[in-house]
Amino acid sequence: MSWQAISEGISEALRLILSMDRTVMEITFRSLYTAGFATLLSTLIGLPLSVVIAMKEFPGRNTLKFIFNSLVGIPTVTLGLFLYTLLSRSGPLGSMELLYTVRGMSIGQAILILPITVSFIISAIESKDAELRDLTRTLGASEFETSIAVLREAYSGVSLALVSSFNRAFAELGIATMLGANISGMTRVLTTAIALETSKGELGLSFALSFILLLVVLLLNYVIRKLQGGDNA
Amino acid sequence: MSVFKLRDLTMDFSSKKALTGINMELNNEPLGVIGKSGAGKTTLLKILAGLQTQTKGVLEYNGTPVSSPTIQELRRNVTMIFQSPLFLTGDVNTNLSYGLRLRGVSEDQINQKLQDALELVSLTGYGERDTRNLSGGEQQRIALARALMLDPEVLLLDEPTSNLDPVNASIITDILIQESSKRTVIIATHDLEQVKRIAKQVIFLENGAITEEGDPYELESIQRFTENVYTGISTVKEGVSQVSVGEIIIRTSAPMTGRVSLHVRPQDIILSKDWIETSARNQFRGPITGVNERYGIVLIDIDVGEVFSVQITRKSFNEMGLKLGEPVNISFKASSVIPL
Repeated sequence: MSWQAISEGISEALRLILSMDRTVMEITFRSLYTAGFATLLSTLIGLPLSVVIAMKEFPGRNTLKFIFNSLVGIPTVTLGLFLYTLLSRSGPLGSMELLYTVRGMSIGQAILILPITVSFIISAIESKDAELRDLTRTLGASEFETSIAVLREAYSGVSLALVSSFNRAFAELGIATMLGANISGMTRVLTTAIALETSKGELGLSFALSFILLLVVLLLNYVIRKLQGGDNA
Repeated sequence: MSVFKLRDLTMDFSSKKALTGINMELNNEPLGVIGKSGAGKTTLLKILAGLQTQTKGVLEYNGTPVSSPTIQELRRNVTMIFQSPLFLTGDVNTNLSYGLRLRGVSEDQINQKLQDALELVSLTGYGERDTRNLSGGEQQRIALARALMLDPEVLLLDEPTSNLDPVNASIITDILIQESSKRTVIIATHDLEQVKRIAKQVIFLENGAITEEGDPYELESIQRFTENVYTGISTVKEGVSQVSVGEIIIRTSAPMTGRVSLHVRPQDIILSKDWIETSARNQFRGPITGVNERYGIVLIDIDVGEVFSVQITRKSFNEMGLKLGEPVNISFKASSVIPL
């Protein structure tokens, strides 16, 4: 039964992709949009934060690094539940009306992936010699210009951080379920749709959606590898 | 007017004191900084370059104390060259232009300067090469060109030739002699010959403090080392550095490559009439060429291809019945060889 479901899933996935099925396209684009916006938010906050943590000496720096490292693996349902309580109508942030919206899901995912963004960028920067900073400074770079130069030198590590962050947001289920509730045409994304179709016994469609999910992740990683110079593609 | 004035400059790292209470005034004469590894040379240079901040004391640059608001001014006028050259990803031109682009210099002017800088280090036509594909010597010459592109008031060099072959080292030394008339050159090095060629003033650092300073030819710390100072090319084999000095090879346990100066203390050398079975890695034979006596201590010069001064007591000298011209053996441990 299961092998048959997989092969049916593959042919169904091909059919849905080739026929550009409207519902599937809509769900896929909503997934991309939600995770993309989450990655953007996480980068806007995480990038400067990582630069400060990696390149400045201040008390509590190691504790902060430890916290971000530990939160990399935070269970999505736990965070989802926590955010649900905060955002629900009667919760402290209920007035922001973010519950059951794509924006709310994005913000939730951004919080989820921020530790990945920060931890990965910090290690990318730290993998570059401290002497690199001395070099740019002695050539006259300001602290800001030095950070830019170091980020550019750590480019492949930084882009890996962003891709990993996006992947985690794109493939997670807990927050999308808790904050989005899988409302058809509103907050349904690939992962919540897969969970729903599976519970309905529609294994073929579930596999089709899963293959689309995998395909997007693979394609994205391939493109990034190519952009990095392609030596490891 | 002095370029730098250091008052009670101290640098504490959590593990150790790197500099202790340095007081010094530097004018624009070329300065050599000598001392063993770990004596504080690099730390001193990094503070002068504005790359590290002292834990105590004051650094004045052109009459103004350096502090966080003025450190950028210091960094824009003082450029440091490191022992192992480091590059930003990209070709030679990208690296040479980096500092000037930061300063907002027009591309036309940068292009003009690029040609001059490459010519200065005799690497014309290297502009489009990837820095990763250059030899060590070429890399250090490009690093020098990159610093000189900025026309800095002060050029700091931290053992710039210690990893280089003699040809590249001498190209760099020649450029530095030339440049020292245009800007203040401060060089930390183990190569005493290089110091003598470049520097007009020398300081000797020991455990983070200046123990001697003066003219490189007169300096007592160098005088102290003129006995048994040898300069040669070192290669590392099985964890032991072999330094070719003239016809002989001196073995030392300090890992070093490139051109180095070594010192062996006269009291660390054992003199024997015959070849002895010993764990000492250095053993040579040659005739006695001189005998000097000072305060009951006898210094004997032995020519084994290089002249070694060996210190023995008056009593040993009498008992061994040594005579001028008589061939003897000398031996000393690899760990007794002090890299300068």
